[in-house]
Amino acid sequence: MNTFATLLAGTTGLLPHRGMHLLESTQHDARSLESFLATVERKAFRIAQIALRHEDDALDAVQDAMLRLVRHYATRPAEEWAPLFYRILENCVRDTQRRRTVRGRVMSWLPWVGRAADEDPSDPLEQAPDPAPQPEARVQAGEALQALEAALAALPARQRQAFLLRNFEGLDVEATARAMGCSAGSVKTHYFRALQTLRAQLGEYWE
Amino acid sequence: MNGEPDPASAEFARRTRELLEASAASLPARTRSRLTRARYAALGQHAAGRAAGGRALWQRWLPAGAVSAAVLVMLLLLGGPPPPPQQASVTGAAGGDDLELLADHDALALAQDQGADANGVDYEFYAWAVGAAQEEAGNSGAGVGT
Repeated sequence: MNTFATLLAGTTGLLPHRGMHLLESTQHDARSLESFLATVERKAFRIAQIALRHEDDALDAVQDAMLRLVRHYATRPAEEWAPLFYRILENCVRDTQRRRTVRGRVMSWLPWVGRAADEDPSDPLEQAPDPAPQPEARVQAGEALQALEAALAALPARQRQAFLLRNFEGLDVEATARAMGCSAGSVKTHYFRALQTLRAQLGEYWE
Repeated sequence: MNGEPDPASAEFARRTRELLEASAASLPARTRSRLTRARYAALGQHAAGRAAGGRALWQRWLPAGAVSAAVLVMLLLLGGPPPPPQQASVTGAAGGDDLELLADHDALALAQDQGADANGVDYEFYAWAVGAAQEEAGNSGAGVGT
């Protein structure tokens, strides 16, 4: 009976210690993750919104990316989170675009749901200009931003991704390469071409 | 393309960055709220997953520990198989014979007599006895003759 008593005491003594360690580790990870997600969520939303041109779809993509990062990569080193997160986000954006394409094709075969097929993914009310009077600078900035978003949306996906990750999110070349799943040289090429295209299209707003 | 953009491109990049950052900083309250809820949902899932993982760890080992403890208890209560009694008596008899042999000097001398063959004939003894008799006879003859 002594053996059983020793075993039981060892087992019950182990559980609270492990439980405390697990709790502390979980709290630390959660704080780090929360800080990271809070840092990137707005820019991530804007990147998804520019690519998808739809607020709700962009929010869904960001939420999916957050969930997938937390579910699969929470235990990875914190410095890897940004490239992983933006890679996941780009996959979510592509998934949404594919679903839109498939849905559009299916709807085009169904003439009695033509109204749904013709539905514009972007909310026209959100795209409409605010009728309230605004200072001239805000109007100009708003116009410049709209032109920039349109030009970014028209870029090839890889160029847009390289430009936004490098210039907007501020990732370095290596981190951008990890996020895009390509070489650093490819990132530089995509970024350079995006910059040239945007300058050619938007020069009137800045020059 | 040498990796370093020209000053005009660098200025263009700076202005686009400022414009995009301003737009991200001035998101509508509804959008910010939904982003916050999405973040909390993700973190909630993370916490739930870790807690479930921790529970699964000790829940996985608890039945094994209980079964092991039960087996130990049963073994201790029932005890091991008793030793065969015959083996103990044989060992005891052998030990008693050894002690008696060591205590008896004559028996020990007989036990140490390794010259006898299977029929009990000790040829070395007889050879020695014959040799001793001849030697004695030779000694007697020499003494008579002289």
